[in-house]
Amino acid sequence: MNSDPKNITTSSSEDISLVQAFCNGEKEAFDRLVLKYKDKVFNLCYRFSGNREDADDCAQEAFIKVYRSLTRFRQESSFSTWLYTITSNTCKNKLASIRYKEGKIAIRLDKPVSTEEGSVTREIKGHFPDPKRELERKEKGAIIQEAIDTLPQDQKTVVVLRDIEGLSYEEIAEVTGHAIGTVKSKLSRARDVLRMRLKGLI
Amino acid sequence: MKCSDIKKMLAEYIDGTLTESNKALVEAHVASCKMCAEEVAFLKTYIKEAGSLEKMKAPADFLEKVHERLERRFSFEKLMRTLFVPIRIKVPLELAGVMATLLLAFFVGRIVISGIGEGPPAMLAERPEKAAPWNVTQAKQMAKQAYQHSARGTESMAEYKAASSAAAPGADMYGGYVDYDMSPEGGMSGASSACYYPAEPDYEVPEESIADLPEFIKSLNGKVTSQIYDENTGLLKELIVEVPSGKQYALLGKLKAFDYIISSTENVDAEDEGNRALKIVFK
Repeated sequence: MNSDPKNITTSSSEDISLVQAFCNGEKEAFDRLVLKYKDKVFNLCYRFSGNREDADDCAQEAFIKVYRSLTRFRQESSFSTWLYTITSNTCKNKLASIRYKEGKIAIRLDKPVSTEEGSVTREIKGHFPDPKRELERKEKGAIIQEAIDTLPQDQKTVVVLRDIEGLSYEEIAEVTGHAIGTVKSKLSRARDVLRMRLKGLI
Repeated sequence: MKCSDIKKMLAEYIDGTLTESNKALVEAHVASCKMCAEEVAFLKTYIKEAGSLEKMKAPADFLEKVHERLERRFSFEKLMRTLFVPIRIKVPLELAGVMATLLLAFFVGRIVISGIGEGPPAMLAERPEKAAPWNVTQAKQMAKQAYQHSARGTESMAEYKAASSAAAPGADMYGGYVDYDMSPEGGMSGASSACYYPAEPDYEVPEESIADLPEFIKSLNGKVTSQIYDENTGLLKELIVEVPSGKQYALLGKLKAFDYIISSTENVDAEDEGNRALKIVFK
């Protein structure tokens, strides 16, 4: 989420204009909203699901729901918060399905990572301005993603929204429907779990 | 402060949203607590790494896929709407369908139930209203129905007994109601219990034959001890007769085309030389 207040205001105004245009019959306004938020939504779905295929499915489904309910959007929150709410719920429902559970595979954090150069062990590397850094960053990202994948759904949601997407506690409370205190509590528990899982790995 | 209290504030400490006093408390504790210091170090590293994770991008054809999914979804819904018409028409149609089904089930159920219930008891119970001894056609029809039910012979006696015992006392049934046992063959057995004596189906009933009964009884060497006529119609309503023992069967044979009730208070088990006193009430 962009933290510059001015940009947020501009972005919100643009979103409202597009929503109103859609309600007036301009279907192209929906396309513009999709193009503006598709990467954010896709990234969120990826962090929830852990793979691109499920992320693609969840993201498309989220926008279908947006399309069907856009005329009922009452602007009680910002469009982006509303969109995040829909995306979060869509991912939660889809990933809770039996099919997803059957396909879920437990991953060991000390499992070697296969790269183009062969298998490497997961180790903390120093920051060096060389091509390996990108590889290391991706590996570290994979380790963190795998650790996040082991969290319960409610903890995973707040971790993704707060630590990865950078939403405020108030926005997370709005998206999840929890009180702010509950959000902080879940986040604290999730980080405790991640600390145990990522100890020595990042 | 305790580690548990510090831990609750660590998230906001990392976020930079703690008050100055709380921030000072945390830093003072962390400076002297190795465990909390490790916790803070982890959180700083983790949040930095998590916030720097690669932003995954949607596929280039994402918008097209969304349109395709929309098209598929709405095509299905449009088909459903076309098949099942608008709600304002669908609901009344469905209600009409439900009502029609219920009505059909009701009428079919009535037919089935009335078919199951049909049988000697119901038919016999209806006979008194239908029976008109002076209506030859009706009498023949009812006699035929009764005969069909009685066609099994003695098997039907139990039914007739059950029917007669279920009937109101004194209720007449077509062909007769006797309060002593009689077999269809004419034999008598014991004591007072109701008996149905079916009429023969094609027996012609001359309208004046009831009036001929006294003569017939006399021909059996019996006698009529009492005759009562209906005040309104002038027709014979009741006969009290005495017939020689053994001759009652012939009398019963003569009576079988009529609607009547016959009773006797005597024990007719034993064959004796005396007469049988019978009371015949015509309906």
